[in-house]
Amino acid sequence: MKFLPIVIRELTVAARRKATHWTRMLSATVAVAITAWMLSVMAGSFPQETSKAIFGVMTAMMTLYCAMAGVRFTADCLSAERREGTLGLLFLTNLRGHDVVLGKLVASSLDAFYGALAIVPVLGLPLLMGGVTLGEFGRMSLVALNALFFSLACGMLVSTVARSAHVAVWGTLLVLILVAGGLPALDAYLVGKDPTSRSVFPWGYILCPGYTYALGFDALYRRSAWQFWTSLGATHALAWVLLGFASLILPRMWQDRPSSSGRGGVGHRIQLWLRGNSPSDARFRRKLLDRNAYYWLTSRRHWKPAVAWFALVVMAAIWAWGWHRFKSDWTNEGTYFMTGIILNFIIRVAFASEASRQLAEDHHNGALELLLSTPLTVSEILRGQYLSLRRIFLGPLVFILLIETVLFIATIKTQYGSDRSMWICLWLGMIVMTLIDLGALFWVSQWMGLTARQPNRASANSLALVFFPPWALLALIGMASVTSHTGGGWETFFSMWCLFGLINDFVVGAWAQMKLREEFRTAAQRRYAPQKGLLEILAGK
Amino acid sequence: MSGEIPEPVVAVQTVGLSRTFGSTAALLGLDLTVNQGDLFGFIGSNGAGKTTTLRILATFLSPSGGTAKVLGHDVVTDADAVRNVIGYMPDFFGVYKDMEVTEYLDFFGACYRIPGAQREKTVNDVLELVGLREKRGFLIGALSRGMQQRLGLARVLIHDPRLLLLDEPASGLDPRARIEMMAILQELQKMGKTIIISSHILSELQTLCNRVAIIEKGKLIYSGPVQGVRDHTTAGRTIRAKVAGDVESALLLLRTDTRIAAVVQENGFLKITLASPELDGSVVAETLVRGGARLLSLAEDELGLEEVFMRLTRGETQ
Ligand SMILES: Nc1ncnc2c1ncn2[C@@H]1O[C@H](COP(=O)(O)OP(=O)(O)O)[C@@H](O)[C@H]1O
Ligand SMILES: [Mg+2]
Repeated sequence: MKFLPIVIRELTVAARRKATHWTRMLSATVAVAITAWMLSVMAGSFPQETSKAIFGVMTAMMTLYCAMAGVRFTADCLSAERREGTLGLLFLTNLRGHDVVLGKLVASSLDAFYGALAIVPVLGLPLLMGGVTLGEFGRMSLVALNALFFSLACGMLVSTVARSAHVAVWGTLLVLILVAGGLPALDAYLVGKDPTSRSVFPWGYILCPGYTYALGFDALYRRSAWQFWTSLGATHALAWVLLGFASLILPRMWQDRPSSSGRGGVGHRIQLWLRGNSPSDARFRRKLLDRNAYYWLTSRRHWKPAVAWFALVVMAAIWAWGWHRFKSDWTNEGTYFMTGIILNFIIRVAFASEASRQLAEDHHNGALELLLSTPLTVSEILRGQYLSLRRIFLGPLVFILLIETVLFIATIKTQYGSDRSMWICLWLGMIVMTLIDLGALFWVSQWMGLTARQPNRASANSLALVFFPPWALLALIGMASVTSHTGGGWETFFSMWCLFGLINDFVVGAWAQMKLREEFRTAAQRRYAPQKGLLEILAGK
Repeated sequence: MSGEIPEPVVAVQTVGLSRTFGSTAALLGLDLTVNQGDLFGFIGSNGAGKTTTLRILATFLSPSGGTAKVLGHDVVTDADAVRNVIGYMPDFFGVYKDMEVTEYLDFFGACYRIPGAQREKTVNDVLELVGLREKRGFLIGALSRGMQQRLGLARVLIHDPRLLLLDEPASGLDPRARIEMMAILQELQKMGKTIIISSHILSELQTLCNRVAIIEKGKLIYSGPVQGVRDHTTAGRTIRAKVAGDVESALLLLRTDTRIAAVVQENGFLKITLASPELDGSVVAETLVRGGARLLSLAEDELGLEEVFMRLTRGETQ
């Protein structure tokens, strides 16, 4: 129980910390704003209905937030220590695997917990208004806390084995999405193949927080209480298993990396290939270095384009599966448009993540200081980044645009009149916005990477800068128009969305570009204290 | 090419160099001159401003005031020219641990615009120079600290710079690695390079450097040959003497002499601090012999140099 002192200490420190404070303030403000908005919109309905709706929305948000918390809070906590080389130090003390895992779990999850906790008082309102029972309230709190615990445990396990921040964060996200969406989809598919298995317990849903959430409401809970508790219990138990497993393997995983002496073996060859070390690679290096030194630095993991194509192949496979399964129900304009939205979203996220990666890494490991005292210029660095991003993304982007052109043509072939013009607008707007967003992200992500205090937050921050303002503005206008019972059709909203997006892209893109061109060196000079390691916490510093 | 322009004998010159970070002043008007061919020791306790100075000379930081010239080029207005003639090694490794030794050097060679065909040979040459030839295929993360430090030196040398700026290169090295590092540096000095090496331990550079500068709180407090450090302080020398027989009366003799600041007994020796820097060991001999004590040995305390340094820097902080 050596982790207990750490926990108590962290609790008091975190409560005083500024970031914690802001997390709490922000989530409480959002909750209050949404509640107020719903109250005004549903002013004509019965209070019980309003209360139920508010409760449903609030708890859904809270559960979603909790279910994804692992990505933000634990995914990179141990891998960061591994990169800093401080993980090994922990095991020179008399700490055991579970001390480290539990200590880290609490230390890095307090912000998450406080964020969720801030919503609870707002939930009191629907409780007072009636229509929501105390039982529901209690069950929903359990669901959210349990989802939080499970999510953090997942992040912790991924963090135990991962090294790079990106692998840790994306790996955790993937695992969580698989658990919440992949397993239920598989289950649904199997049931669809063999309808007699309907009576079987829906095992694929058992870990899905959405499922537990739905069962928590009185209406469903009355019928299937045992399923609710099984689902909750199974998730909880699995979370402990994940943590136990993490504690077990952590002491074996802390070594930084295998020494290069142990040559031979398949594992080693795979490693060499991943790192990029084959005869062809010396040529690759020569070619890129002669073009632009920074180009090679960002591209030296030469398998990156292959990963992008692989992701596209996987998505194509999912699409083909849907087509095969749902036949003509699948091939309609809705599916096409959804496909377009998802593809465009994914490429933007991946682009932002890749564009911010190298600069964040270089700033934090101090390599930027070396680079900037060589004749390498800032514009060469930016050029190298551009070349490297082009190498990874140009092919997939062209491919996606081709697919979208096909889907677009397929859509307008079946549509007539006003529907046809609507789809034309939607498709063109979406494609153009994606391209412009990518342009803005190129600059914003690099600037965010260069100035990020925590490298793994850089891409999220830049996505937020590009996506959030237009949507927030649109939401405000939407609320205003609903409450004042004015408002236009989809045309108004869509053109507003495009317009806001355009202006925002232009403003943040130009701002980031100016910053990069003029203040790159100044920003690189800033020193960031490395994140506080567990050792310092233990030492009571 | 142009034989008329005389080579500057001054490698580095700073005038009133200052730098502030928010409200903390890291450098407060530093005037420093380093001549070409010097192996120059740059000494100061932690936080004195050594790293800040070297970063400015390496064009990574910009000064808040004053000027700095490196081999005739201003570090602000002519930064590109400066970057081509210096090799800067920071106080941490700044390495990519998942790169191989050759990849790392090849990359930095390209940063210095060495053409591809020539790079391979240059990489081999610098690896040879620092004695890392057998480690060429190794991952940097798998090298020992001493080897990583030597790799850092190899990187600094890749474009054959005329001035090396090394920030605490010996810190964290074991004595053997330290001696190897010093030997390489002496070799480089013989090749005609100017080297500035910083440290927070004066005695570490005592035998290595021909000139030293001592800074404290962003100000220069001494610059010149190592031997001159002592003359520069108001502190007297420290003498170790051994007497036979009645130590107590010898102590009394010394304590009543006004030319002697302090006497303590240490491991059977008398450790005597003289009152002013002009005085030397003869004072002690004279006093003891006149007073009738039996003086067995008398020597100036070698370790005293570190004490002088401590006194110098402490004097500034108080
Ligand atoms: N990037 C920075 N931001 C804020 N303060 C700094 C920064 N760099 C150095 N300092 C401060 O300047 C002073 C001198 O630091 P430094 O040059 O690193 O000293 P030294 O290398 O001699 O130990 C210290 O007080 C240090 O805290
Ligand atoms: Mg320093």
